Amino acid sequence: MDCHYIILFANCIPVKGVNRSLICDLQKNNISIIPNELYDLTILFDSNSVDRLLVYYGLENRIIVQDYFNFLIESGYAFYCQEDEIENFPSLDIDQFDLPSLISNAIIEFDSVDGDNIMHVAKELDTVFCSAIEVRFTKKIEFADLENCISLFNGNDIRISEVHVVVTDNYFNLDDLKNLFVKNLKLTTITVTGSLKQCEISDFSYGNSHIFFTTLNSHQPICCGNFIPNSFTTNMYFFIESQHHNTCLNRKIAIDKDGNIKNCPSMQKTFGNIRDDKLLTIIKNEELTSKWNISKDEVKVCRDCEFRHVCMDCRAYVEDPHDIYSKPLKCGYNPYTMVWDEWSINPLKQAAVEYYGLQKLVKN
Amino acid sequence: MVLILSDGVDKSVNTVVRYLYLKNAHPIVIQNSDISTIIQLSINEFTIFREQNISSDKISSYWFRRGQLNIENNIIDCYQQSPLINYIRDFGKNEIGSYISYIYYLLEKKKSIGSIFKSEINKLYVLRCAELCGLSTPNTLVATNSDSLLCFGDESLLIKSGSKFFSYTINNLIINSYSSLVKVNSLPESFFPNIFQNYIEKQYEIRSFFLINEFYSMAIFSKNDEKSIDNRKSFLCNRYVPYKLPKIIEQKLFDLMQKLQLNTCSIDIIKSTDGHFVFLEVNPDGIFENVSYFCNYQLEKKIANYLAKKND
Repeated sequence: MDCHYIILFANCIPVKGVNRSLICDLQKNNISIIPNELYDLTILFDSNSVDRLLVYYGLENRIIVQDYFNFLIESGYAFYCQEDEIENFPSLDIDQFDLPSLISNAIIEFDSVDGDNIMHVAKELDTVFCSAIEVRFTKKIEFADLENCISLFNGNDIRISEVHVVVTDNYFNLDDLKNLFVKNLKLTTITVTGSLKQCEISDFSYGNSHIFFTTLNSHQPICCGNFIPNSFTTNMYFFIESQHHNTCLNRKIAIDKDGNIKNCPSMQKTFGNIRDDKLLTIIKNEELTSKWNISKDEVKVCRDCEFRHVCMDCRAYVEDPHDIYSKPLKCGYNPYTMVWDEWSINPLKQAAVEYYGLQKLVKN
Repeated sequence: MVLILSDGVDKSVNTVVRYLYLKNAHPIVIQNSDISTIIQLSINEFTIFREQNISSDKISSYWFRRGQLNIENNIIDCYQQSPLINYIRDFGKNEIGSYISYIYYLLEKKKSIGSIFKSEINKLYVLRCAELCGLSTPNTLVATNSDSLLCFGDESLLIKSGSKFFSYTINNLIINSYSSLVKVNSLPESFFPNIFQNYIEKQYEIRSFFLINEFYSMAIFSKNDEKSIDNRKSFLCNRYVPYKLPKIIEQKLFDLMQKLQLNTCSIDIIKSTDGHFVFLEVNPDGIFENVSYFCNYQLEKKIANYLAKKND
């Protein structure tokens, strides 16, 4: 073979955990679990030829090392190249993250549809170049109100580009809901809670539009922050944001039904009110923004976890409520044993469960 | 204010515009569908109206992304009854065209990215310049009969169009001018003039976006069993990774950019199986979204920073 080096494609990035590692493919959006010894091998790729690696690992490991090479090549994670080509393939610069928004996403709760209030919120979100919003209705509303609310956020003079809606079922007609996507191009998803059936509708051709029906009663803040095994987010933006920022809270705000501004709906601390304060001022509050930069590399246990850069964080419910750097409460994965357990029955978590008043939720 | 000329407002224009707003740079986008009017035009300055007065002295920088400036052609309003109405309309179009052309000239004297005068650069001229700069290029011939192709000595040749990319859809049938491989013996004796090139076996392709004196390059690996002639055809199965061209190639490309007087463009290169970098073509209004996204170069932000920066 005249190819002397093996290198990983720059968007296939190995992440080391305490007991095993991942290769995160940020172009094809998938992950593979690999042993740490393969991780350690990949670190040597740039500075050692294939032959040298085989010699270095010794005759007794030759077959294993060769198998690792074959695995990486066949999975499309790596390719062979010549020594003089190595410098032509720089790594992906994962330390550069930016968005053309001061606030990239906002969760807004309304208990009724008041046009003036909605326009005020939309205009305020414009001042911080908010691009995506999730509107949650805390009470049942009429279809006409839903339609009105969405159309206000959809306006051409509003910079928001993505609207997600969570609404309690009120005998809505499916065709009416589908029609909302035709009239409002910014509308991306509708989640209908308290529905009789559980299903997802995405067979209509308006971009990435989806309607989700769920039998869950309502979208309560205490339900947030769940960690479901094998439901990870593998993509370039998420991975890069995760290097130095919090994957849930970075450039996020929540506005509750009374107008209070918080980091997220599940957190108690408020930083002002949308009716009286300017968002441009509020987002200068360091207590609000400091949580944006808590990365997984700083969170206890998570920093040892192989999934840390493909996993959403939660700072609202943590194992030790007095330590903002403690592990997310609702995560049942243990990177030291590599076992997923039900978080809610873990005896070590009961104090925090009581602290947050989650007992009722846990019993369900 | 920063003036942006674009054929439409897509995601990357929108991203640049948002970064500009965040820098208080006051961007204004004029799209193909916008009709402006001339308020005044002198040798040194102009004012046009499009929702507001846009004066050259207020414009600090200019980005020609694509598209054109459209000025209302109302010459026929005065000659509705004339039997020469079609000629008059054409005359009006030419008149306005000459003014618009001078407005472009005034705009490009500002700090600017891109040039409308370069958007339809001649492919053969570019190949000649590339050779003069020391870049390898494929053997190229514009042929009208199959006999003249025998000089290549190859069974199969690459066939491509000489002018702008063409694509139309009629009854779900897409007709376009993608480059493709043809067997010489399957061609008729004589045909419409076409560019033929020898087919170069490639390791990977390189798309390099030239912007403000830097090359932002990306290697494109095609799936081994589906090596394609034209990367646009097989978007999903490819692998896109950041790439750094060798210094010597960058220097030659830089010379080419100077020769062609381009301050931005997308460049197509092949790394051949025998290890050579073969220059294929430049697209002065080529897209950069993929290069920016897959390599995390954040070119939208770099464009905005450049346009917004004062006294550069």
